[in-house]
Amino acid sequence: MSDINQTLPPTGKKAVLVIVGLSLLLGFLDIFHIRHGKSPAEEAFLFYGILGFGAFLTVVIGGVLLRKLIIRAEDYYDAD
Amino acid sequence: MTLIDLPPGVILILGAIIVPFLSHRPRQIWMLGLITLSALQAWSLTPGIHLETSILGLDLILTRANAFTQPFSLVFHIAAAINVFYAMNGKSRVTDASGLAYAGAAIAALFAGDFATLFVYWELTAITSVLLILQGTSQRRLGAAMRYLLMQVTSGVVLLGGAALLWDQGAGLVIGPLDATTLAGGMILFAFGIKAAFPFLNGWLQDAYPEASISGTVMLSAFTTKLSIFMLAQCFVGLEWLIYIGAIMAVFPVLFAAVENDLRRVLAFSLNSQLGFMLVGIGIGTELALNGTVAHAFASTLYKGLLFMAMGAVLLRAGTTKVSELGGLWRSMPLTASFCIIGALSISSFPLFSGFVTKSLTIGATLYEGHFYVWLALIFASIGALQNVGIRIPYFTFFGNKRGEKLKEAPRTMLIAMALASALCIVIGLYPQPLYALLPYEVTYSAWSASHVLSELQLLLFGTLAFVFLMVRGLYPPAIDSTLLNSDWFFRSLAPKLIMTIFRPLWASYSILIHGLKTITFDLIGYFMSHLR
Repeated sequence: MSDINQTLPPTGKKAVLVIVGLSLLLGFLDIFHIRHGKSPAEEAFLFYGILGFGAFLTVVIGGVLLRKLIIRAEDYYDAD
Repeated sequence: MTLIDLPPGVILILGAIIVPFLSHRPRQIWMLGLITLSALQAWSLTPGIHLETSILGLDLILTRANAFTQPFSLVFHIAAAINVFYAMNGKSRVTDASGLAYAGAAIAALFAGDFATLFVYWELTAITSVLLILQGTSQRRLGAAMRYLLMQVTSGVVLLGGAALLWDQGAGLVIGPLDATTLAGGMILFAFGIKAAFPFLNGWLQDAYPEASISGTVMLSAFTTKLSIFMLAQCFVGLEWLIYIGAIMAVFPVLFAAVENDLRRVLAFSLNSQLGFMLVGIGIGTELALNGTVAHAFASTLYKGLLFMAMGAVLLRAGTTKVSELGGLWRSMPLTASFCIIGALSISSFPLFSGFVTKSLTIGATLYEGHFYVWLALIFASIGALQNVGIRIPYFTFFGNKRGEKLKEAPRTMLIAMALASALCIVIGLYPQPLYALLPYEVTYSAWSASHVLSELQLLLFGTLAFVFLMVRGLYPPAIDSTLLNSDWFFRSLAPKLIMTIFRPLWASYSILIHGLKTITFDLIGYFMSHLR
């Protein structure tokens, strides 16, 4: 098993600020935008932002939990 | 009948026979010429039946066009032409010939008007494409190729069985809407389901595609599964099960892809998820949903091909596509990195890129038809595509903390192929009207409403914010060299063990019985012989 450093490089800090800034801007725009969605849930403030953030975390956490069940050695089939 | 009267694609199959005997440059010119000719043939066909024949009492429709054939055949021809450029560097006659014949078989299948004709091309796509897997360099390619062939041929045999039942019932062989609850319809649905990589029938895709040659994987990503989606759209429009199968298919592969270490396999899982979106569209069956399926198949063939091309270039230069071994390659491969980012933005449905104006048709249709939970599943799968392909692939390949080795940029012909696919992703994103005009039904949906743009940007930006959050907190899961069990485990591991468990005692009992009978027989013979003396 190998591991890689899962942290942001120093140059990534500016990118983080840009992403945070843009997210705040989109949140701010959502205050003024009246969305006429097909579902009432869509009309809630920052619905899509919360959905995007939550879904991303769910994909990652779901993947990690699934990996615990299905992970095998790299030569699992070759060893048969 | 002249060559020009043959069904589109057949000219590619016939032309592929000569390909191995041509030297490098004439071979490329020959292949591009044939693809152009076949594309012109396909483009000139108006809806209706164009070529019929009768063989052994079977009325066969060799060429039939309808509203679905034109967009699919156009993107298949574009993919075939781009693949010629991409594979040019490999200089493999087998890859060139089998790739051309494979594209030809897939294109000809689009125009097949009956199941008997379809069966011929269906199996031809299997036989020609397996050669692309055998052209790979990994140790696993032989086993993967055999398993792939087994699944593809099984699909063909089941298709033939279903067609034979239809014929027997007097329903004829013409390809058209089928009832999935009948045995014949069910068998044909199952046959299409194997090639479309339905849940539990999908293992071959993630098993075989990453083992093919560099250009072979790109070719494989374009044709087989999209052909099956096309056929499902011909026979099973409005079948409600497909909505739920599609939703499951869109969601589960993204979880596998999230922790897969091999990036070509990540793309194979992601391809599977994209097919789920198309299936949902077929299941809903409204004009908007079907437009979504076709538009998504068109755009997905291009951006998925682009991503496989970028990862192929990385494999060529770095010798690996494992997350755990890559990083910082943008300094060495800036053009490949740029093309990969365009593919990543397209699959993530970022505004101005192709996924934004195509995927939203299907997602929109789910809400219009009141399938809120299916809509939620598709949004989840979209965010999965952002995580797995939109962020993970470009970030951990080209950026990240690693400085990266000093490598050469991808060969010029590969860059040309990637540039062509990138240009199409951007053009479709900026100006989707020509693509919309090709779709089976008139498009009244506007992807560029303020609400849709804001919603999509919020999804993507806040999704990216979640990635930043995990990275800053050091919570992002590390990549691990491993095998992830997939649905093929049932066939590769469980079934053989079950068979052995059942048959070993039977074999042992049989051996004991035979041994006992032998002993008794010899004892009796010995007894009589001794008394006879």
